[in-house]
Parts: sequence; structure tokens; C-alpha cells
Amino acid sequence: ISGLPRLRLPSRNWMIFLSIVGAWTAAVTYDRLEKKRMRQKWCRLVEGLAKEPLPSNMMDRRVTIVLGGPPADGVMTAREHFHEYVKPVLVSAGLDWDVVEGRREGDIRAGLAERVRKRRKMAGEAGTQGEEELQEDTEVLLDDLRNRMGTREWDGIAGDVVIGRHAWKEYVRGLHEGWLGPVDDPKPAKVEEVPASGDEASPTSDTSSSETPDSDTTSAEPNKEEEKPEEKSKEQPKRKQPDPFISPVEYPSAVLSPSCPPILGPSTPVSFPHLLGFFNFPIRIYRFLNKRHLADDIGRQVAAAALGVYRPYETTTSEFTSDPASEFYPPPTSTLPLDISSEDGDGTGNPSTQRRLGIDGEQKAILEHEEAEWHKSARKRDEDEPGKERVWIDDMVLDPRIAARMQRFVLSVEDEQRAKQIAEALSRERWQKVW
Amino acid sequence: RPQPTSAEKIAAAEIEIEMVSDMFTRLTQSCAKKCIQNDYRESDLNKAESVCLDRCVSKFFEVNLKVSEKMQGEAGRR
Repeated sequence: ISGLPRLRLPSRNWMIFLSIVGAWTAAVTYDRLEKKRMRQKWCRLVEGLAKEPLPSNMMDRRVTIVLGGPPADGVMTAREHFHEYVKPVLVSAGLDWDVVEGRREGDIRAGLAERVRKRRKMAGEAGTQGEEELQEDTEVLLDDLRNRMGTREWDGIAGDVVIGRHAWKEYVRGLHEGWLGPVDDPKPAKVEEVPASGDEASPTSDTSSSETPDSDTTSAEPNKEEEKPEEKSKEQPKRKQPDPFISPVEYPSAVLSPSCPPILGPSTPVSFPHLLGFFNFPIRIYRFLNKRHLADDIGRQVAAAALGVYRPYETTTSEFTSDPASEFYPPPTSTLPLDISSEDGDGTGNPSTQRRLGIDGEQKAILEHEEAEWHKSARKRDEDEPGKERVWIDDMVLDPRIAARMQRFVLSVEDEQRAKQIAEALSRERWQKVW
Repeated sequence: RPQPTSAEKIAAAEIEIEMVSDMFTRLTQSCAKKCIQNDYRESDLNKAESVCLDRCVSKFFEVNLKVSEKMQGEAGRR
């Protein structure tokens, strides 16, 4: 007898095992390959930006990333999310970035408000304290050096990328607090109660946990802080977060800072799906197998930020179609996947303020679906202080002056077309490799 | 304490100039090798290269600082 041996299939049990393992592996592999392709698509779209020349006496464009640990989780998940989805597009576009980080609720708000107040002080609004330390500050010294050397700042828009609904809420609150609130701490008496811990900075010093590649502290001795982190942690185990300088109820009576620019850094929200819990496993498995859609979505948002086309936020979502400037940006269906609700959604309401403060706006509805995913511990109010402000679960209050200045990055029609063509080119390359 | 003589001061200044220029040369060579590709068509730096150079210089100085701190610590302990 000769010829091919009699081929047999494996037994029934092996067949079951191999088909399950094979199906799972195929699903994961396909998803990861597609995710890589999505990433490549958006990276190629913005590549052209990196090849533009930059004069050597001009600083590069610095985008501000607003990153915060999601409720009931640490900041590392947010960082990994950033590294995986947002960073490749930023690198490909030749952008530099600067991070406002937050570990606990309210850190981002405090850090952002501090930055705004510092900008106001440098623009000339005098505070009653801390004039001398401002002159010793590293950033002021750097600015002086740059002026002398003739190095100019980037002369276009910079932009903010806000990752996640929690960070978005804190971002909006921080902007309001910074531009509408006072430049000085309205309650400086609190600082004297803090035990002498070697931290001699005034109340305007930075006690939030914001990190940037160049350390962005406003205290008078930044070097000391870097060299002795352990001493500080022994004396001050919890860095105190400064309270908000202004509460949402006081917005209408507040005076807008005269140095407020007409456009508040165009921003783009980036979705950050984050689900915890044992019974959420089926949903999490589904998301694990569908990361390509997330990569596409986030890539689009960051590419829009890189390419720099922006429009103002809508004041009420129902007015979207009748906007006179709508010819300059594409129709809603293709480019705004995050604007889900057509009505103003309140989500979780603040029980202590029954009447609605502020105006309605597109900013309120952004990324709202993420709020439903938060762990229930984030929604629990502290029994000791029921009136304490909780940025994450209170309603967002929009002051019309600030809300009208906020702008949003959108992808123009031509760029959408180019992105589609790049996607087709990539799939052609894939099949050519197979051949 | 005896003041350093002018000859010693000159020698110290010369050594410092040498060290600084040596560091500068090493820095430019290392960062140019890492950040600037071989094929270019124009003389201006583009944005990607600018950003890369900024980061390279910053890292170089940080590494320098950390290493010298460690060495001073070692020398201090002995």
C-alpha cells in the first residue's frame, strides 16, 4: 500500500478545544492588527506637520494634556491609556506636550486654576502677596532668558487634550475658577494652620500633584523639592489640595479677568472607557476585542487637535444645525461621535442646589456616557461634609463668558477624505504583502 | 586660607572651559546622531527634529546631573 496516509481529524474533544482557542486567538489578533492600522492611518495623516520647518529661535508647539486617575483607580491606567492611544499621534505630528496630572479628585482643578492664576499674574494683575517669589520663579527666569536670547514662543494656538469625563469636568471647573476667581487666596488663614513642615511657600504655591517634563512648580525653591522628596513625604504625608477660590454660585457676580484671551485654548475631549467590577466582565471582554474602534476614535480626536481646525462650542445643543458658521465644519454625524445626547443631560444631580446654575452648553454633554461607568464609591458623598463640593458628581456649571470662549477641535472635510484614502492605501499594502 | 594664585586661577578656568566645550561637543554629536536623519532636503530643522533635540538635550543634562550626584555621594561616603 502506498500514497498519502489516511488523514484523520483530531478527536471531538480536541476539535472543541482547538476551535475555541483558535477563535479567541483570531479575534484578538485581528483586533490588534486593525488597531495598529488605525493608529498608522492617523499617524500618517498628521505626518506632514512634522516635516514643516521650524526656525531655530522659535519654541515648538506645546499641547497641554489633562490627565487624571479615574474614580476608584490610580493614575497609571490613565497614563497607559495616554501612551497607547494619544501619544503615537502626537509624536507623529511633531508636537511637544505638557501634562497636568491629578491623582485625586480635584487635583486637576487645583493645578489648572493655579496655572491660570500664574498666567494672570505674569500678565500684570497684581496679587497682594508673593511678588518677590514670582521673580525668583524658574519659569519667569526662563522667560527672561528666552527674551534675551531672542527665542520666540510658538505663535499659533496650542491646544488642550482632555482625557476622560472626570478630567473634563475638572478642566471646565478649573478654567472657571482660574479666570473668574480672585488671583489671591480668599482664605489665607488656613495655610498658617498647616504645621511647619519646611514648606515655606505662600498660599499661592503649588501643592497639587501636577507633573510636567520640566518641573512646573510655583514654589520659590523648586530645586529643594526635587532633592528632598523623602523629607517632605515624612513631614507632609498628604499634600494639601488648595480649596477652590470661587464656588459656582458666585460665578454671575464675579468679574472676568481683564487678561482673559478671546479664545480659551481649543480643547478636544478624548474618551477613556474604564470599567471596574466582576459582573462587568462580559462588557470588558467585548471591549478587549474591540479596541480598534477606540483607537480610531481617539486617533481622530488627537489628529483634529494636531491639525488645528477649531470651532466654538455650541451654547445649546439644539441650535447645532442652524449655526451660520456650519459651512466651515462638517455635518455632525461623521465627526462628532462623542456628542450623544441631543438634550441636555444632567446625569447625577447635586441634591443641595435645586435650581440650575449657569447656561446650557455642548460642554455639559461631552463624554457623558462615561459617567455611568464609574464605580459607585465615587458617587458616595462624604457624610462628614455633605455640603462639600464634589467636582465629579456635581452638575457642571457653565458661565456664559467662559463657555463662549471655549473652542473645540474638529476634523475638516478634506482631512476626513485624506484619512479614508490612507486607510484604503494601507489595506492595499496589506494584501500586497500577503501576495 | 591661602588664596589661589593667579596662575592657579587661570589653570582652573582653562580646565573648566575644556570641560564645558567637551560636554558641548559630545552633546551635539550624540543628539545629532539620534535625532537628525541622513536624508534631508532642506537646511531648516523641522518640527519633529526640533522636539527630538529639545528632549535629547534635556535628557543628557538630567543624566549628567544624576550621575554626578551619585558619584559625589560615593566620594562623600569614602
